[in-house]
Amino acid sequence: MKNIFSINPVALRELRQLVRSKIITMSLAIFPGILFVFTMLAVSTAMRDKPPEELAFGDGLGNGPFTMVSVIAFIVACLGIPFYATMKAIMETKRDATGLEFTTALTPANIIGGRLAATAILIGATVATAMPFFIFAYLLRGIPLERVFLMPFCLFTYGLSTFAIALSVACRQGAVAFKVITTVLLFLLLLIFTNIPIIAGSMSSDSPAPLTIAVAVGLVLVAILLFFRAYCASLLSPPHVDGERPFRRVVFALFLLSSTLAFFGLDACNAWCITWVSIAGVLLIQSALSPREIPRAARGSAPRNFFLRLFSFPFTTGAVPGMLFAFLIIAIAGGIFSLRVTDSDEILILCSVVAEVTFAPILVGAILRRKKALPRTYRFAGWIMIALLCLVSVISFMAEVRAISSGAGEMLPCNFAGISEHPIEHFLNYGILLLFSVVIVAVSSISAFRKYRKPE
Amino acid sequence: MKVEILNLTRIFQRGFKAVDDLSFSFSSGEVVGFVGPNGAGKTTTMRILATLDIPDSGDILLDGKSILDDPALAHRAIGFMPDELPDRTDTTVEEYLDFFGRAYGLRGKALADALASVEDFTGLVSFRDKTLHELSKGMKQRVSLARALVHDPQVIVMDEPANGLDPRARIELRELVKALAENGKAILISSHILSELEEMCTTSVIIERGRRLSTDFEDDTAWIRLRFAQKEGEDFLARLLEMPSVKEAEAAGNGFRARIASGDEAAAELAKGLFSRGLVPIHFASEAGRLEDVFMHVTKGALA
Repeated sequence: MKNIFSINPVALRELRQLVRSKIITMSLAIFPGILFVFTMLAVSTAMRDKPPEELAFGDGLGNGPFTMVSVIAFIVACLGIPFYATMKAIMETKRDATGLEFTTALTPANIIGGRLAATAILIGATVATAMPFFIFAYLLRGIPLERVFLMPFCLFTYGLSTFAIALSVACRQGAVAFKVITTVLLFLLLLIFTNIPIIAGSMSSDSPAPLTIAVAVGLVLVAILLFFRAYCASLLSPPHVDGERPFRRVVFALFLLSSTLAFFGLDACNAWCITWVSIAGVLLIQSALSPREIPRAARGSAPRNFFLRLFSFPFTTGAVPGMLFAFLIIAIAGGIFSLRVTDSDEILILCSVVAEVTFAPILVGAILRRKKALPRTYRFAGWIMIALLCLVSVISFMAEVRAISSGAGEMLPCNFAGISEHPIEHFLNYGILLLFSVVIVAVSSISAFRKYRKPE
Repeated sequence: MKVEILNLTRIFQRGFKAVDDLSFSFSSGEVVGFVGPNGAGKTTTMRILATLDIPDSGDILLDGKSILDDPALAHRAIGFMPDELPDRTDTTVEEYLDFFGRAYGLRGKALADALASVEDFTGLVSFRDKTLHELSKGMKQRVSLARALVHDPQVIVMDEPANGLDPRARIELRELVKALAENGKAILISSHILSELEEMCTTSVIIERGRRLSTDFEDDTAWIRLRFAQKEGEDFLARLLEMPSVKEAEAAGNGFRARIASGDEAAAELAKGLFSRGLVPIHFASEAGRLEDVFMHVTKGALA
């Protein structure tokens, strides 16, 4: 009981450092001032634009100041703080190359959890500072009450999820410059793709906030947060521990929880399936290129019971269990998709995606492993895989549109081109690729499973 | 506590063997000097001991239990002092040690007592409120040692602790290491300053290209430095070489060096022989550097 309430040492250290940071202290000190100035500007603009009778009895002046505060809080809480915290983590990783934290009783999950907790407090403080200005905007009328509470919640969750994603860059090995560039690109991509406009749009004054959309967005952000928290912890895990098991458990739990979406409608099922096939594809790439051996500590904790061992095998750290795990997700997602969707063309398209997603990483992984070029060349492996995927898709796409002779195109599948007049040929092509992948994974899995037992 | 390193092998990319079938052991109260040229595999071995790396084969046992099977055992029992020093502008000595104390699971009074104890032992009491950046290299080395000791480990692994320290800080570090050994800690210490190691260590392990070359001081001779009031030059060297206890002699600086059998008896015999021949030394001291001699001797072939 005592340990539950004892503060995470990493969180405590981070908070102490934040308190000493001049940038943070100054930013927190001037942040209310900036909010005040811009809120007043928004109020005066709104007052100038509206006739006096509307000011007294109309929609009110709240919308302008509310949007202004939201934008400033978004820049600080969802971009500024995560960016600062990520840069801090990158520089610290560079400075402490030894990784002394890993000689202590702290687990990677503790370390990531501590960093997230400290950043959560900082984002929380920022959002809390903005809260009086949200309430002020509400008092000016024109804002539904739920917006005043949902916006801080969304800002908080979004900021923290953004940090979790960026932290996964900081945790990876590589040059500092590469990490910084990747982080900046990630922030830009997130800004474009993570649909903060949905949050804002769903709560615009014209369409009063539908609580379900806000809750759905919140749940997605929480899922992203949990996913990347577990991912960062697995990246930080020292080589001797079974570091990927907690990550795969979280992924599998999220996969099962999100599978309820597949039963809402065909579009939702389609989106759910494609999302998880893509995630499984990334996991497959990562697993195909990771060290082949199952760590000794993981073998040491293997259950003695055959069925329990069989069940726990795909969750174990190592290349082969990882590929099996990805296949498991693809198989379940594909199975549910096939049950829900009756159109054979749709299923065929899914097959082509799966075939391409699985074929390239397994092929490249197998070649590199045979050449004993792993793991030094893993950076090139990514490029080889992308090139292979593009080649496979582009050649067949060009063949489909008759730009080149159809011979090459019919040899290779293409998920961009849709279904040709001869679906059976495509099915055979996809089937061969899938079979190839399944055979490699199956043979490797049987061999690895035999070794997955407690050392004598 | 007994530390056994058994047939340890670590292979990096392109088949480079950083550590190659390395075996040795040491126990509580022993100070083992871990010596080797740059790239010999010292740091890799120490990192494996600290569970920061994993061997391709072999094992490390602490009192018969494998740290590869139970890394938490190593976390509790081993204090690792790397060759890099802590340097932060936003963390005080107290906060730094407090973090690691908490990271090792210490809380409340146990934590406060542990911090007070290590700060007292390493002489950091008056520096606890200074930031790490404000400290000198020697003080940072003390902070690093205090950090390694905060959870009261039975085994201490020190990677180049004397690197970059001034003579005073080196002497102080040597005294701290001796005190730790007297407290029953098993210590593995690597350094390039072999004369320092020789004064601290009870035994040594020399490695090169990941392989163990020699343990303990295998040379059974010692060098004695001599200086005389007489100014007889060449004649004196010849007279030294005539003495039966002297195996080898040469001029060195403004004096001479004589190689005799190791041990106090041989030194006493030499002194007696000098006086009996009317040669009165104004300086008579055993020369540090036997480890250097052994090191140069055993690593010479492999380096060529």
